[in-house]
Amino acid sequence: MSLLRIEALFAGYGASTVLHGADLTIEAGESVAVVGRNGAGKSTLLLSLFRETNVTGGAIWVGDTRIERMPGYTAAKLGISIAPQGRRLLPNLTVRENLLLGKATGRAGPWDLRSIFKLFPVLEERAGQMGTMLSGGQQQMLAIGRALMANPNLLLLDEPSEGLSPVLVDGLVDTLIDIRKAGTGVLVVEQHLSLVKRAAERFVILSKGEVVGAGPIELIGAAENQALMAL
Amino acid sequence: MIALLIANSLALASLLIMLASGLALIYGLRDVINFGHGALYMLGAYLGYTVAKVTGFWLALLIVPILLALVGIVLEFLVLRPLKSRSHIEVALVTLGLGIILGQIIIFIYGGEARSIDAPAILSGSVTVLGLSYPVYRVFLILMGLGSCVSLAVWLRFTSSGLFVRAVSQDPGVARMMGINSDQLSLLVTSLSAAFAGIAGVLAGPYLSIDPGMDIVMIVDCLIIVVIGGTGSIAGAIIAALLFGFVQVAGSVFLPNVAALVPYVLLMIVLLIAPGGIGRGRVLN
Repeated sequence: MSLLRIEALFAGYGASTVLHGADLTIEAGESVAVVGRNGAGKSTLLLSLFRETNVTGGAIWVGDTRIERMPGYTAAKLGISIAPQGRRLLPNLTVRENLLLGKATGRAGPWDLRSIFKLFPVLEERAGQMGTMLSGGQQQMLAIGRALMANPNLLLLDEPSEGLSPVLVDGLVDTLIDIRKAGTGVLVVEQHLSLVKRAAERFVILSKGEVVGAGPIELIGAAENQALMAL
Repeated sequence: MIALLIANSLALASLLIMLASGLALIYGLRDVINFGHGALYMLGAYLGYTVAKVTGFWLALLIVPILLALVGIVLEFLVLRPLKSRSHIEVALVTLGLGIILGQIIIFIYGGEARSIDAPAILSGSVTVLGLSYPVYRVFLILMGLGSCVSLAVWLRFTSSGLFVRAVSQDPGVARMMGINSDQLSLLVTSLSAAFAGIAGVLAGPYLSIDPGMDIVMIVDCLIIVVIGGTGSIAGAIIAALLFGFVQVAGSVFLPNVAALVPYVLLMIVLLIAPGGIGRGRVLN
């Protein structure tokens, strides 16, 4: 059984439809990248798992549970967690409190404050500071750490390299590799192919709300895939 | 004179803190002003009157909040949860209507005359604090208010459910994505708010008169406090309650002819200086 299965999904915001029958399947422990131009529907695809969009058709399965009509917290409880675009840290919570939010799922597993602080030592040093007082790279670490605290089977990352320097992007790639080694699957939505090539094992191309291409990560630079990404 | 003024302000503020913080909690979580909150306070006072006649004051102070918490659960399941996707004004009107109905039922049962609860013997008489002779019951009220502040702060700051309440009030979308069930939290918050209204109602019995208009007076005061505090902010509501208690008591002493207007003047001044209120929408800061 697949970890996540999205079937012919139609979703958007208000009366506007962004996804037009998108399909995606992720198996346990996989590392997948969703790529495409701005406005292709990449973030909408992720947010639909948490009912942050208006889903008008299709189905979303997490394991054997169909969730597209269930409350927005269901995906997290079933082992899907997200570091959303722009990080969306809560401004009046400390670093430690932001991390502890991840425990709301009640899921047991290898990730706890100690293992997160081992992965991102700077977060332990700044545990008492407000999350939004951190630098951009540290905020990204906090967003990823918060998502990992839920002990997910699949970690969703929406534009994780946004606002990061090349050095920090390299560190992020290493982190994603470590997370995969720990047994957690990764689905990354990203425009920077340098990160995607090093952090994912296969890719899916989204264009105008539909999946128009897919393949192993070695082929992402092929001319036909570049053309599909430019659509 | 000043010491007495401050002490009386604190006694009044203690009741207001219990009510306004409940109102602010529900607003923070559900984004809704519960206009029925004053009626819950009035119900607490009348139930306190009835229960105290049978069991005495102390058991009433224990039993009535539990009964009110049950009323809060009913409110959550029958009103707040089914209406959570409706507009603010629709939900506010429903709570206002339910408050009026509840008030009329209480008047139908108890009649229109004012009543009061006798303070227990241990809380009767006066005590001398820092050279000031002051009623023991009002000292008890101040301690209860302080206890409410501390327990709310400890809950919000140091427990998981308190952390999740703060998260939902800041960004419900992120809270959902983290797996937080806001319906479950709302049940806790609504029943807790109603229980606090019950405690305030019982405590008001020996301090203020129990009468049919007490709900309107209190809800108006609490709304002013919640707005001054910054809608949804508990810390802001506590500070605003202290400020409100002081200006109301001081107004009744120094400006008795216009005392009723003083809280509204305070409201206008605060909103001119800080339009978002003291707490600027943060549940705890």
